[in-house]
Amino acid sequence: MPRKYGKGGNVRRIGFVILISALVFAVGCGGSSSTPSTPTTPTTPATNTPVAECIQFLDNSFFFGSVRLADVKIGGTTLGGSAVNVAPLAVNAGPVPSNPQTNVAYTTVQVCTPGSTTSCVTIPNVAVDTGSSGLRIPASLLSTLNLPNVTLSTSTPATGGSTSSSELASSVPIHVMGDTSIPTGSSIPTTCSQVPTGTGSTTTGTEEDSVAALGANGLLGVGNYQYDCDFVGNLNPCTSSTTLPPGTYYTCTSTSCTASAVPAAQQVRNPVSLFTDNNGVILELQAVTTGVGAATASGSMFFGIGTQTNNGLSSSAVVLPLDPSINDPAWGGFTTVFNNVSYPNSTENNLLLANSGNTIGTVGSFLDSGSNGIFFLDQPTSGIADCSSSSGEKFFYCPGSTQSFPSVTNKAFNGNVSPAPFSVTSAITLFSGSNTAFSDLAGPNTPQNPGNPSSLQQAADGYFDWGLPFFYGRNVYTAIQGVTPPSTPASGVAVPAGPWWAY
Amino acid sequence: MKIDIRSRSQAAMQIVLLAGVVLSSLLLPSRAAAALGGDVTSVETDQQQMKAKRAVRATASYLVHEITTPYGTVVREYVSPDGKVFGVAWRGPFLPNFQQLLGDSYATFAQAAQDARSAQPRRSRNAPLAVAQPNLVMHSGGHTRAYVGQAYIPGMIPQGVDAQEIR
Repeated sequence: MPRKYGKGGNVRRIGFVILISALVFAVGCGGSSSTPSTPTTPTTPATNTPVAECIQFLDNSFFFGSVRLADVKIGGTTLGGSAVNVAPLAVNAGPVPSNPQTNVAYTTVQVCTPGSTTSCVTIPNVAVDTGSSGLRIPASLLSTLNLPNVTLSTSTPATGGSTSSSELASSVPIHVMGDTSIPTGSSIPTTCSQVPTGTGSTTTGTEEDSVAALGANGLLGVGNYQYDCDFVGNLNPCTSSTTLPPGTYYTCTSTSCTASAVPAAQQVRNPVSLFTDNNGVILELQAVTTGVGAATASGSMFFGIGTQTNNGLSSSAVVLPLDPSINDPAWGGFTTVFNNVSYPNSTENNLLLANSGNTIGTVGSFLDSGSNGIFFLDQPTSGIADCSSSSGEKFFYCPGSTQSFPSVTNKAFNGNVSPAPFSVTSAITLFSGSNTAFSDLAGPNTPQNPGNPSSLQQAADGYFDWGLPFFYGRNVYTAIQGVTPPSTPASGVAVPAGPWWAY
Repeated sequence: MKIDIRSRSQAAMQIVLLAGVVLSSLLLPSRAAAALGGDVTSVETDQQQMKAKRAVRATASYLVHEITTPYGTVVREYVSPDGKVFGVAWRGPFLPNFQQLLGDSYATFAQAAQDARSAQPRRSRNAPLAVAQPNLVMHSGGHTRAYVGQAYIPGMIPQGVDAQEIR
């Protein structure tokens, strides 16, 4: 799929490039036994070798551990919900006093050895993340269970359903983070831990998959996808060795790991996609007062959208489908209109394209309960003051008084528009007490204004990360790609197929 | 206006050359990748390690090697007239391998990320990261399955080139 350059552009390009019509490497793919391997080269491992997974984050931290099968329940009446398809949510400082959290919504999950109703652990304080997919629990919390490893030959398909008391995902692959059984000790593959190869430096990525580092007893990914490596458009490049992304899936012996393609069925899976009410979740959190926050906040997570009488799509909610076109600036999300300017901005992107011939350098705005603030633009573009660098909160906004933005809207690629009024209060003010829930905590996308990008670039490349602050006082829907929505909703209005958000 | 190169495997020695030049450098054995700050041959190493398609485009001041990885992330490497990679950019569903893409600048990035975490533990680990240091400017943002970012070495940007073109 060739890209077009310099469409409508000026004359900065010079035409010296020689066209080479074809330079093809034909590969003899007869077998894998003679193929030399490096840690970055996928090979064909023995099919009974355990599967491990890596996740890397923007701050260069990572989770690594085995993939294992478990029976998973979330919420339900036995876990404190008011109905089978409801799980309680609580925003508080979390389970680690030395690592108190802000704007994190916790729930309770039950993890059992597949097929057992007695070999189980009930785990509170698991963070609910609509920005990822799959259940991830530190190994230390699962030590009393003997969960079977997922291997490439694991044939047990995950199943699901509901009981009279709760929803159930049976034999679902989960991520057992920090599991040192494969490989033993510290032999985490360097493509995950990011051990540098160039210099003598020993600085690496930071493994943050312990309870202490997480400030949570795990991460419950209830995002837009069924399988870990899915993305908008339903592609899953982890399933083939020729398209395997770096730092994702491995097979491991007791001593070392090899990057390996893993079929979707063996990837960490969004457990909700296996429930009876399986097409998404609704997060409903109580409103939190602007300017001060609240000590705690509570709410509910509903499973399914339009599948029951308690989870209908509200007629006032606007559906914002994820933009599936990678050639759109808002790919993977939507556009936010702030102070009458669209972010990301197609016009500005086209201008940059014309000026330099360079293509899109941004992604769409998005909703993510796993972000603890509303992160957007930068100080010059937003007009909101950064916190002083000496305050200890320099990566948040610190306006002199609460600033309200009542006319902001979110606009999807299909033209749907949803109002998104919000406020920003100084993080220093909010953090001055011991409150943990704030509806007006926000920060810049680009603190420190790296390289002093021009306003043009900021306008072209700006986007909004609508984190948990935006969820308070709203019902926020997250619909899963590839799961068939109810053809006749039990309540509410018609439910389109995912992936989309609505509120 | 572009060169399309498709490679299936760095290990493949059964090569059928249908047409072309530039072959000698592609047949060099794999070396330690040093993309950002490295010389243009490191781009080829990157391409091979990413098993990617590459297209080269020229502007008046630099070349842009656009590497389309099989996993959907597009990486652009900006090469100055003296053959040095002065900037890189990425966009796609998966983060690139930073230790490979940033080369010797990786340590600066890793240290800056670590410093940012300890300086501001309240900010989410998936919030956008910015680095602004004399030898590395970097922004890494987006969200799961839709990432975007840029990195460059200020002192290596050719005269007259605006850093914002690295995207």
